[in-house]
Amino acid sequence: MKCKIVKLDQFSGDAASIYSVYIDNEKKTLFDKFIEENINSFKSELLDMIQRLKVIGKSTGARMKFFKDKEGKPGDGVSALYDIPGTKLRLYCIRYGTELIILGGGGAKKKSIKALQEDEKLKKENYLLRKISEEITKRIKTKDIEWSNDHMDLIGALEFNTEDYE
Amino acid sequence: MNKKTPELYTSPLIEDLLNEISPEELKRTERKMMLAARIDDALKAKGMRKGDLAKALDKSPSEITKWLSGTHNFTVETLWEIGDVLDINLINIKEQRKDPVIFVASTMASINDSQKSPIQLNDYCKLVIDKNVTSQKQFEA
Repeated sequence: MKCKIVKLDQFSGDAASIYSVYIDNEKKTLFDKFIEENINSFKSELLDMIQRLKVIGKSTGARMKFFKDKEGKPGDGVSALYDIPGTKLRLYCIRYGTELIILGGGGAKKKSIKALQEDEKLKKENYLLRKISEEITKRIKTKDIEWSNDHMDLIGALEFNTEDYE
Repeated sequence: MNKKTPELYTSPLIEDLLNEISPEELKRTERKMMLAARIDDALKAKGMRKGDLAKALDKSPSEITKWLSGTHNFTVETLWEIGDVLDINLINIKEQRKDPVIFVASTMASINDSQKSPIQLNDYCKLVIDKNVTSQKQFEA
């Protein structure tokens, strides 16, 4: 699997950098695909998420309380943007402190499910981010990817094949 | 060796959605999130956890989670209660005067005759500002 991590210009600001990922030869990032998939059914929820992401980048940073953490493996940073009670849309991301988040995809949560593994779409999006987080961690360990001096950005091999380290 | 910096991407889909959000809406969201951040900081400063706040206010922990998520519309009463527990002032009810700038009578000399007719104080101040009168002595009301 090919991954290319890019910084989202419209969300990133002084408080946090917000990224997303292109997978293989897709023309859209995971977050753009998330918008496309949900704009018809959940537009108002999307607009709310867009506002929160904008404020996170500009003013508040990615404070832990703005997210639902522990959505992945221990320590991998996979989280979800806080789900407002009564809403349906779930957005997964990888959170690195308050300075950086990588947006993935997500989908609608059904009331009937208790764990994300019970929903194929949510499971697919969540496990994809777990994999991306794992691959980034490997590259941070080998210093192929590093933190910028101000800790606001990832620098280095932001385009990679997951097979490279297998 | 210099490491490659991230590529910047401007998404047309995000742009379309951002264009549908008014500055007022964005400001409201920002205020809610900043307020949640302030409460969260005050909790940490007091060495309290959200469970402690829930207990002190007889609320469920999930309610406090929502408060701290930056998505909650607080009532004034709730903000007072939180402020009392955390020893912070989340609503400043002391009078915040936006003092109008009043110019002394001599300023009138610089106003056109046609505008010497009775005018509202606000109009008068605006006139003075519009005419960029800077040399007149001014004092606060």
